[in-house]
Amino acid sequence: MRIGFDVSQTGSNKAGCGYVAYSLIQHLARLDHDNYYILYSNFGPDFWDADHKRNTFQTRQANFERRFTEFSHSQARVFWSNPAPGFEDQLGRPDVVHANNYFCPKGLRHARLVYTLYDLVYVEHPEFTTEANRLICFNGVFEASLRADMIISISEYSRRHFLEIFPHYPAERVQVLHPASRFSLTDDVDEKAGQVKKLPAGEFWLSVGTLEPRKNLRRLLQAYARLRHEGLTDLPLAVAGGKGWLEEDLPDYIAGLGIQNDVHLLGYVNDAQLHWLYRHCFAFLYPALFEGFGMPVLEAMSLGAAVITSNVTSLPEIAGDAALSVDPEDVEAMAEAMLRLQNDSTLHADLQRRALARSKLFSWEKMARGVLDVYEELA
Amino acid sequence: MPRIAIDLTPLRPGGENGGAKLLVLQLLADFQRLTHPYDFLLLTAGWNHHELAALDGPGFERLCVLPGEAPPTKQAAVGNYERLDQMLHRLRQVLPSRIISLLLPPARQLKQRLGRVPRLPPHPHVPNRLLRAHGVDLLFCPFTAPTYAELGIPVVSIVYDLQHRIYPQFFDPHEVAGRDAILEQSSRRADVMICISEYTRQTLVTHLDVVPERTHTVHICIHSRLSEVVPPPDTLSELQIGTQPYMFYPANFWPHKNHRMLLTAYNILVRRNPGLKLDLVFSGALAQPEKELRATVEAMGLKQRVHFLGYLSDEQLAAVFRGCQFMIYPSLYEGFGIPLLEAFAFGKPVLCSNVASLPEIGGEAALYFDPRKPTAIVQAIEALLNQPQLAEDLVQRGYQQLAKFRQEDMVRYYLEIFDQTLRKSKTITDGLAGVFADGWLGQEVEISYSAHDDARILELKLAAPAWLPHRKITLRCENSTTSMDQWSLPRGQTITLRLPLSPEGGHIILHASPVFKPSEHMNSSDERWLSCQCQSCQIVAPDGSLQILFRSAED
Repeated sequence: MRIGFDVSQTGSNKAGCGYVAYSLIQHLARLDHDNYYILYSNFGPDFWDADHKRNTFQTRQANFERRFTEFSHSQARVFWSNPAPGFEDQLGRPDVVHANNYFCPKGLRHARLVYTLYDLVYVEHPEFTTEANRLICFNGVFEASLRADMIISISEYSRRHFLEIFPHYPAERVQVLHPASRFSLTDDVDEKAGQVKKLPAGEFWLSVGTLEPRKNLRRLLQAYARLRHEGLTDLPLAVAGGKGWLEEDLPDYIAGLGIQNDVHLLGYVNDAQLHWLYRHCFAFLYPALFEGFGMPVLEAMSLGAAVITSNVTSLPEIAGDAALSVDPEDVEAMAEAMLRLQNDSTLHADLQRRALARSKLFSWEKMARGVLDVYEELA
Repeated sequence: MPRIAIDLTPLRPGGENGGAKLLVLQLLADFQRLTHPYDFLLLTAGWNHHELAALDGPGFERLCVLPGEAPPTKQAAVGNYERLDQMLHRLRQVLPSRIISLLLPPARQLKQRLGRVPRLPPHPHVPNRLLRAHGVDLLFCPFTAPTYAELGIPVVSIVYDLQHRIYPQFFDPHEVAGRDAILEQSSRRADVMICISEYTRQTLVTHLDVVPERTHTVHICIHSRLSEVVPPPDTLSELQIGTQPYMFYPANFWPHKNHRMLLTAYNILVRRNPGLKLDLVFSGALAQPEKELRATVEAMGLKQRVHFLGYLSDEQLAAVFRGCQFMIYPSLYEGFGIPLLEAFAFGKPVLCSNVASLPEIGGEAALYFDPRKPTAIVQAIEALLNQPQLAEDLVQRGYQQLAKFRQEDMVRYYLEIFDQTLRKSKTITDGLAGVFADGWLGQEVEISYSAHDDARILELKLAAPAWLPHRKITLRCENSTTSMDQWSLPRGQTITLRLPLSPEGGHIILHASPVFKPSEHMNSSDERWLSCQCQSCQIVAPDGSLQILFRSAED
């Protein structure tokens, strides 16, 4: 079988989708030496990595090749938007094409289309993203509802949501395959390289995620400020995550709450630092308003962090009973959960233990095997 | 008697100009009907000269300035261009890269030739001094572009929308650059920019840095046109609708009209309410997207309930409006929204997006929803279906809202603006337009300079980087008082122009050609038309004092 696989987002500056595609193809390569893989370093006209030739996933494995690494942006735009005669030959005559970046290709006659579904946050909260990104996401998923032969949903929550919005799509053709954490306690890491010096190991609250409204950071800051002002916590709060959108005034907001000396905005951190932060935080706080999966929760759990997260969207499905869950709009409840964790060391240790156990239920190998089954069923 | 030239060259046969054409024809008819002190010179083109013959009469003269049977089609050019791109792309797959690199430069030139001619923003070079020769006192550009503007003759432009700025993804990137060039030219040349809504005016002021004093809002008031039409009684059955109640969406199948979202919502609505008696009717043309939407409707299993009527005559349109249960309008972007007023005039409830100009036009008389949320659209429809009183209220409020849009007022505003513009004498200040913030020039730079006691000199330092695709840039200066001068700037070199300025003040226009687009020559997404770079631009007085108009970051 010949498999065309979209690795367009696996380059530098990976976000959620990019990490999933990267780990998935990595594990497919480990498992599968029989089928032939054609990797597309760009896929569709919208997502564009200017240096895709160098940045996107590559391997020397014999059953892998890469295509379109020489495309300029305008070539990619023409090639993917207006499939010309011979389109599938140029794709390498795949039996299956697997789309991972929201773009839904057209012009496939022979190849079956597999489409990764992340979330539909933009139909509930369009204000959480840019209009440009919203259109890319909605149009991609809309077209997938018309053309995809199989949809791989990263959560049961996204699956249900998709079928609510697109009730014409056959339910049996949406399959849930959970991704996993890319971290584990057995990782070979340089502890010192990752250490964030100003934070005392084991004695700080941690929040991780691109700074954007969906992450609900402001309510978390309010909860923290309440505890801090009442003298109920001495631990600083570390916030790791690159700039997203609509949060430019965050430092002012933090100063307005009077906690500028207790909150550390770390910006974008590398994997070694992230590893250290998850490993050494007192607890990981993730009160997001909407998730299709909730990767940071699973990442934190895989490194044994105690977790407080929201009780909405996909988060209960991922966290199970291994985290304290709160209503993300209820600042008081958030503060209470933090306090409970701080005052009950048994609970704290129990959550750390349950988190590790929970994270072991998710594995990339499992997802990759599920994906292979899908390819085989279709081809 | 003051003479006003009206540039009608962009007017196309048929419906291609959309609402703009309806507005322009209404204004012309009213200018003819009402008493005012003006006479009009209509600048026409070969493809519309005869269509406009009906306007001939005292005070109305037609002058064909663009002979030729057919308007330029940009689609054809874009098609060629993309075909060439695809051909190049296929060659790349089969030929060794060494041969490709030999083929590329001539292919790029061909690409430019194919692409450039029709896609360049209109060039305002009019050697014969057309307006002055015809004694014109003011140029009115109802299709925005001040193509025939001449220095010293005031210009009034109509601006419809800035959709290409808010939603660039809905356009070919070349069209974004083209629309931007037209707006930029207009904001530089027009004395007054008439905006069709307050929303358009606000976005214009924010996005193009136009001083608010030069902008006016005049709403489009041409809705009575349709409601006075009396269609034959069997029109609906001929269109094969009307046996079921229906909601109506009058819109072309353009991406910003958001048909996909409406279908998504309708699909949810139908499945949530089995036995629902409510069909969906689309009017509007555009073959390819209609084909895709029809396939969508079929895949959703809605074929029996969704009706595509295609382009409708006025009579048919009036009948479909009269027959609908309500109008739905989920558009993501409008500069105005004429169909809202039309629905009000037909006494129909309006369900409508809460974005862009729509809340301004609909006022309190529409039921609004967020057009980005399918479930919000579903809720609005359900609210209307479940509350008969709500529909009744909306209809009454619709009539009240409609009373705020009077055709007589609209025409009077236009005439007043002409009057004010003719009266105003302009004071010119030192200024530079046409240089981007990063120093790049397009094809035209305009320098204005104030009256001054001493004779001053303009110093303009320009550079052509060595990697430019063209061997040299030709610079041509058009001065309001002297004749033209011309220079050549080879790539890899710089040039400093020193131009004496007359003490009375005035304008200098510098044309630079040829232009290129970085996106077509290198791995860049820059779609601007560029010529060369400005390193500095300053006015030097005899005492050595400087008025700096531009200085590049490196300089």
